[in-house]
Amino acid sequence: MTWKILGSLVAGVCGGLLLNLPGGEALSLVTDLALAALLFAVGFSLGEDPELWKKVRSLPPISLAVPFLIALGSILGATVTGLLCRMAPGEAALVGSGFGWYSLSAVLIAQSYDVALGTLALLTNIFREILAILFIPTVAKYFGKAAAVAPGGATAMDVTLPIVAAHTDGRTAILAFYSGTVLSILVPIVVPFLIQLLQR
Amino acid sequence: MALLIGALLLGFAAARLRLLPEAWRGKVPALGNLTLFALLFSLGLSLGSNQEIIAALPALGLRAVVLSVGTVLGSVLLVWLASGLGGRRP
Repeated sequence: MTWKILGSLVAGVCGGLLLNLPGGEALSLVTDLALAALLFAVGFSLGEDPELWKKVRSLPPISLAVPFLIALGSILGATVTGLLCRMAPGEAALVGSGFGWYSLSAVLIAQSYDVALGTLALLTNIFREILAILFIPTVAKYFGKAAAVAPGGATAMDVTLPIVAAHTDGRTAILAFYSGTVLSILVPIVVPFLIQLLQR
Repeated sequence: MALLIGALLLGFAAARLRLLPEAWRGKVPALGNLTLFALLFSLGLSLGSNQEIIAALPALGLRAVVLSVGTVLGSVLLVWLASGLGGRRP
């Protein structure tokens, strides 16, 4: 499954390199429709489980904190590894605060802070999504189901949601959707906030 | 975001209320897989066609890989530690 997903991505990149499509409205419409179909399928499989509510209620209360732990862990992780690359800690933290939502974080950073750092945020958050696709099964196996929600960050509500669902269970899929939604709301709040701090 | 939440709820309702013909029910997961492949393919297409991204890779690629590994490790570790504190899951 992971290899088929990665294969689709690699085939797309190769196709894009060869064809060099003009960046398209049509492509984003296709993407939106595919995302909607994907979420429909996940919703459907959750609806098929008659015991779902009971399982969701059995989640420990700390589950509510999961998106905030993911936000904090992403920022701290980027700051620490940023030091390895001799980056200013604040700038590395800013790149990490995209939480995987590469398009939005890159635009926000490029527009109101620095174009080069915006491009770095774009690449970093794209790679985060690819790492998530590759390693969610491994993380679920060795670090527990809740931790499998973490690699995808904000994408746990869309692209990486079916992967989390396939490698964990229904209640973790609900947790992933909740966490991805909260993180998606946090990106346009935290990124501008960190930019403000950096510009002082 | 509204589109995504709407689609999820619609799928959920379709399963609960048995809105789909019996013969289609088993095919929904395959639809999910196919759309995931289509989605990643189209993501790849838009990345591969994006000159800005391709041009930035040699200079920024390694740094981006290191930072993305940092975000994944940091977030996984915090959730793992917290789920240990909050009662380990089966």
